[in-house]
Amino acid sequence: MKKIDFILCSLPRMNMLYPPGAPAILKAVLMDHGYACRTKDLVADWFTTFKDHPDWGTIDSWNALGNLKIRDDLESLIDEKVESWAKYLIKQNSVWIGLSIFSYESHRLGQMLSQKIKEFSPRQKIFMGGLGITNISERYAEKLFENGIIDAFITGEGEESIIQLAKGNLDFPGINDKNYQQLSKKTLDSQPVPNYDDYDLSLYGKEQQGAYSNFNKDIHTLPITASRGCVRKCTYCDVPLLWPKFTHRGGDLVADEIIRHYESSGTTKFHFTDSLVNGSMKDFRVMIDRLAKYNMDKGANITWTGQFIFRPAGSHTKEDWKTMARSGASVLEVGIESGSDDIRFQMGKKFTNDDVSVELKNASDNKVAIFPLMIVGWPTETDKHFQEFKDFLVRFHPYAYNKTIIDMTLGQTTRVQKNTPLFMEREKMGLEMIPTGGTQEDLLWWNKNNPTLTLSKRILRRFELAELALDLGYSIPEDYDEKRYLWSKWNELKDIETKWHNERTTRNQNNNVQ
Amino acid sequence: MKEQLEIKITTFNNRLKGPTFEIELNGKILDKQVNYLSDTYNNCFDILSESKNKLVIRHSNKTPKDTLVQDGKVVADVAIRLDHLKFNNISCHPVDLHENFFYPENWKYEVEDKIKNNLYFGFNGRYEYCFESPVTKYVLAQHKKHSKDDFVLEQLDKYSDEKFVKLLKHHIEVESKNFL
Repeated sequence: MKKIDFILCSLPRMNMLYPPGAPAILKAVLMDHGYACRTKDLVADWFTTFKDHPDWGTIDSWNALGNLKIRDDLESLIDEKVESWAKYLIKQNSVWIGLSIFSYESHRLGQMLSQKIKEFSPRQKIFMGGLGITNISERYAEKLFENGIIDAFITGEGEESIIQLAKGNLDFPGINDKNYQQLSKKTLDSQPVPNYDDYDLSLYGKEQQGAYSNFNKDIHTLPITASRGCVRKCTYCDVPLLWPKFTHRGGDLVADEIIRHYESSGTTKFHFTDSLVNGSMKDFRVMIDRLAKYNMDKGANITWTGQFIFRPAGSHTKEDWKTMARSGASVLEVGIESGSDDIRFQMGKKFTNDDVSVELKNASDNKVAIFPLMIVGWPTETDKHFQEFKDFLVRFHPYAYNKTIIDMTLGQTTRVQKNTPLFMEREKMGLEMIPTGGTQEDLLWWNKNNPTLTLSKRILRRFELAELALDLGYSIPEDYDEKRYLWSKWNELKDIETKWHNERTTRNQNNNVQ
Repeated sequence: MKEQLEIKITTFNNRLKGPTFEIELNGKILDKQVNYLSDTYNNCFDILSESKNKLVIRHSNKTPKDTLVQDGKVVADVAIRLDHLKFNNISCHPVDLHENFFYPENWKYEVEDKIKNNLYFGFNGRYEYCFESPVTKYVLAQHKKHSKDDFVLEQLDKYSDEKFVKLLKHHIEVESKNFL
């Protein structure tokens, strides 16, 4: 087989709503610079291989729960699959094999696949990249690199770094370190259209592992990236540190990309991978105007989904909502995060429940569905705040009934992640991270100013809210997986937390005696 | 099979004398250093591995007097410390390195026949690292063997919401009695 420069693949676990964008984006960038590149979609391969297996739930959990031990016969199945991938990738005769790690849920497979490749072809060069090695406190890629299991890793955005890697410039910021630089607007605007030629797009959008349970059956979806970073500085979020500046492409360029995909492949469904689609209202309005006009003129029926921020009432006009609907806005994921105004403002969100009410009404009137993203167990969340959260669910449950709130996620309780304002301000808030003896676990913290909100209490609240929400008619597709995850984490962490509290209590008692 | 071996050693000298050591694979000397006075030794060798292999790092020509002691504390020594061993760029797992033995020899005083869990070679003697071919597969298998998770979750199938909530409530009750 003719030698190529790169083969890039995304690794499970990712949902099957839309094809993983990173390899397609980077393939286009590499080809634009004259490098030969192929992509291999291991996410779809994993899903189509195992989805009908009677133990699919267990196999799927094996990825999500890094410490889950499963039956030997299932381990063997996974081993065989990974071995076949390793052999396939080596056979491509590529200088570099690139593994895209979207989240910690790809860590287990990422390590296993890298080891298999090295086992069969010790001199094969491997690199990793992606959010799953960038915004984590664990030294995952670093350790693999130090041990020689991978030969390089790229943090942050890969568009410029991958070209430098291809040139052999390993000193470029973001290669083998976390000193990556953010792409400028100029670079973003000059990126080529992602190349999905090696993907079987018909596999996507049919069965989605929980995402948008009531929507988008049997229509494949393409990812679009219009911006990097965020205009908000939410205290729990590491996006402002990952991308200090909000940079965005021009609204007309984004609309052009969507229209080009529609005209070349007939794709009508698109998903924005951005932290938010409406960061720049000016460019957002340009984009929706253009798409709305195109839909009207051509009868194109283009629709799109993505993350969106609610703003104080009136910021989005009734006309904005109408144009959004005509442009094809179908599901907007919105970080409402808490049902309590007080907590939401502490998080850095700048809207109230009354603002939510106005936005939901507009969404409902224009048949745009909303997917609220929520967090339970904020460090200052008292019983009163928790009651407000429940009241919120009751207040807005009619929108769950009419499917304006199409689905919801309640998350895995509050994490105090490094590189977030919450972590940096922890001492001021009275927050302490409880050490585990190994990698710091961001679910394991204690607030001395809200002492009864232990890990168990936070998880219990998560369960109580889910029970109420389901009773009220909300749909929570990820609920089962998240609860199982929390169960595994609780088993892992509860004794560490108890020991830490016991030592703290003893220390305090001794101090009092002295 | 053709393989690549990379070795990194920290060396200790007492300013007058440095360590003498040699690296040997399957009875063939790869390198020898006499009175080595730099602080570190790094080298990379192209090797031919057999199905069973023995890498030997031999430290020699030291006398007990080379260790300088002041007020009961060692202030300088002639010795070597194995920092890492890589085959085909893949590091051997530290536990794996510690599991192999150092055999003291030509030492004036009585010492143990073999020493484990120590990669600081202060006596004369030989450290033996035994491995199989294909080496990469062997080294990765050692990683798997020694990288045990601190916590293994085994009973996912027995999970139920009801049971978990009950456990949580009980745990919260215990917490509030004990330390909150």
